[in-house]
Amino acid sequence: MTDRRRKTRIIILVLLVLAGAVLEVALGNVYIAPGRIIEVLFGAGRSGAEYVQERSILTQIRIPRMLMAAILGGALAVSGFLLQTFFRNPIAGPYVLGISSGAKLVVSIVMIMMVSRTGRSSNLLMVAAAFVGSLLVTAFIVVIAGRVRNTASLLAAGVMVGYICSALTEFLVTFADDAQIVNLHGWSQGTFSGMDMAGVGTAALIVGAAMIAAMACAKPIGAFALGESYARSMGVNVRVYRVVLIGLSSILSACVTAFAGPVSFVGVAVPFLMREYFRTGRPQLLIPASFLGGAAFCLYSDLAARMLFAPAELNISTVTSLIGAPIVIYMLLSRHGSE
Amino acid sequence: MASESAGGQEGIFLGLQGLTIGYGQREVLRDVDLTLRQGEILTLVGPNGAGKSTLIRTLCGQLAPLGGRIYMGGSYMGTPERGESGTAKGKGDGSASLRELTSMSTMEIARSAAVVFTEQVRPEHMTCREVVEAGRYPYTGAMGKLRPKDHIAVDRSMKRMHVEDLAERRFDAISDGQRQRVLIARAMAQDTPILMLDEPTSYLDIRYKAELMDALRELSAEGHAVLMSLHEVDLALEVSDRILCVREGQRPFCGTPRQVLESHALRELFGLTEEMYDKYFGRAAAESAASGRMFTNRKCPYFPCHKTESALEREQFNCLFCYCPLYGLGKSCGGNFRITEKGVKDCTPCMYPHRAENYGEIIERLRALNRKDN
Repeated sequence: MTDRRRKTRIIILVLLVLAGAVLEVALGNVYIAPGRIIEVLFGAGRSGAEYVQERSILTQIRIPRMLMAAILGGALAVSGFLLQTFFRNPIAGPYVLGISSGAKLVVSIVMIMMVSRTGRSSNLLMVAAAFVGSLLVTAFIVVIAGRVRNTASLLAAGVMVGYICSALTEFLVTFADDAQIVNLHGWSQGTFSGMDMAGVGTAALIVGAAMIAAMACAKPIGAFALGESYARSMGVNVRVYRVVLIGLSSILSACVTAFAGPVSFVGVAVPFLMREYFRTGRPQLLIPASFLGGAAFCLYSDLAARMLFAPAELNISTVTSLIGAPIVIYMLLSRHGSE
Repeated sequence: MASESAGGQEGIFLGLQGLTIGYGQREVLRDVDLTLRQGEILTLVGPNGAGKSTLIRTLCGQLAPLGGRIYMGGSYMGTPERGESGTAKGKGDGSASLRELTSMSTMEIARSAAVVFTEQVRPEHMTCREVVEAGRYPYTGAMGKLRPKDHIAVDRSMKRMHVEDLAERRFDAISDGQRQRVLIARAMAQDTPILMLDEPTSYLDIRYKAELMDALRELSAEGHAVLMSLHEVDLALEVSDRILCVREGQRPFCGTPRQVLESHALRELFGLTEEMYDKYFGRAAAESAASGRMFTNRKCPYFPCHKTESALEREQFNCLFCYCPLYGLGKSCGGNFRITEKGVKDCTPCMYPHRAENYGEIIERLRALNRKDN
């Protein structure tokens, strides 16, 4: 595929994201036409009862939600890309390494133990809990990555950690009462609702910094494609970059888990789809492409989750898996068919 | 471009002092002393599991040695350009001060030695050209963009390995032999003083094996040092300057192909019976004694004198001539020999006919003659 064609495809991707963003903001219980959105936010229509309601819907619910879906979707996809490059394995994803399980464990602890005692909880508390859980597992994985010689063992260790955290979570659930189980179950499916601009700001900062770091490491990341031995023989400090790769990926997925809970499938499917779409493995292209792809994927998935059975809202992971899996299967089949 | 004259400055590119290698508690080779010089082809031969791969991995800095020291030298061998950044360029003769391997950074090692490993790699969505371009990694900037001189190096090495027509094909969609040649091209594109190849002839058919040996000879003539392991002992005997016989747990034996054959080291090395040894190497040993075909002197100013098209001409040239001491003495040997710019010559009949057996004697005689006259 020529570079020119790739450039065209990037533009298509950007347009897809923009369209998804507009739809996310426009559609909902109250339909607000795109033209009206601009009016309400910047233009002349800034008066009247309708305006007040529309403005609050936009600024407090829809726009933060849309931004979060885009930012976190992109973050998840890049997180998955980094891991898949590192492990040279298309199955690798932020969830394979047990990060979401760690987050879920700490959230369960907080939910079940603290809430039952103090009768209080807050969004901030849950976010902090998920973050702590993700980072604990990340730190553990980073230590293992520094010591373990090959990546197959690392992957296995990650899967085991995931199992341990899940098992511990189930253990805790036996002591919870029904209401808490429902709460936990609801959160553990992931959702983009309940976001505010402050959260968006934090997420944007973290994800932005991680993305810049990832692009700065694009060259050594690309060298991993030939395996660690060759990467090292070409001058890559493999020890350092193993940690950097895992660290960046974990920060990105921890951020997502902390704000939206575990969102499955995006981290695995989107990088794979982008690789097939652009027919290249180069990180200089695939990192931004994965971000755009993940943003689009989550925007449309969130739209579907909200609108398909409105007013009931589906869990985001349900939608991402249902949309994503058939697409990936299709691409797998068509790829092998053409070879 | 560093072009070495015969017997000129011979920098040491790799030095081993009392090196012991292995894994953890297990020693694989002990107390190895060795030097690899500029323009030299050193081949490791030995049975499976002897430690050849272990040695290569240790020498390129990827496996920590259990004892002893490794020194690496040699400066960047590629086409010099104005304002080139990075490596110490040395004095253009390829020599540079030796540094201890453990004190070198991964990037410094990458600019001194390029490696071909035995492991198979299957990167997705990389064209063959992209794989070879990866060899320029130590020299490209932050975003990995290749500059004209990088493209030149890539083109040159792809041409040397005859993989230009595979350039746009996907690396994971070609045959094993083609992949192997692309990986070797990648290492060559890295343009390092030292080239380390672990079983590079894997998957290659006869023709590509021969072409690889030719490419390596070219590189060594250009001043690169080649360290490789081969299973094909016959190839090793033909192409190497020196051979290291590696057997696990024993001290390796290093010698020229002639020395290796004459000492029958290969028999012990591979644990062959007399019969098997005679069957496989008997003829080579006899030929070596008879024809002196093993005495290729690559430093001879007229090398490669025997690289001619005609098989007949090749028959006539006895590489012993490269060692003919009369050459330096300015005396007529009584033979008809002619010199062309290709260095083609035919020194029969010579009044001092020499064969492997009496070679030493003849040299002594001629030296005595020379001393008497001067």
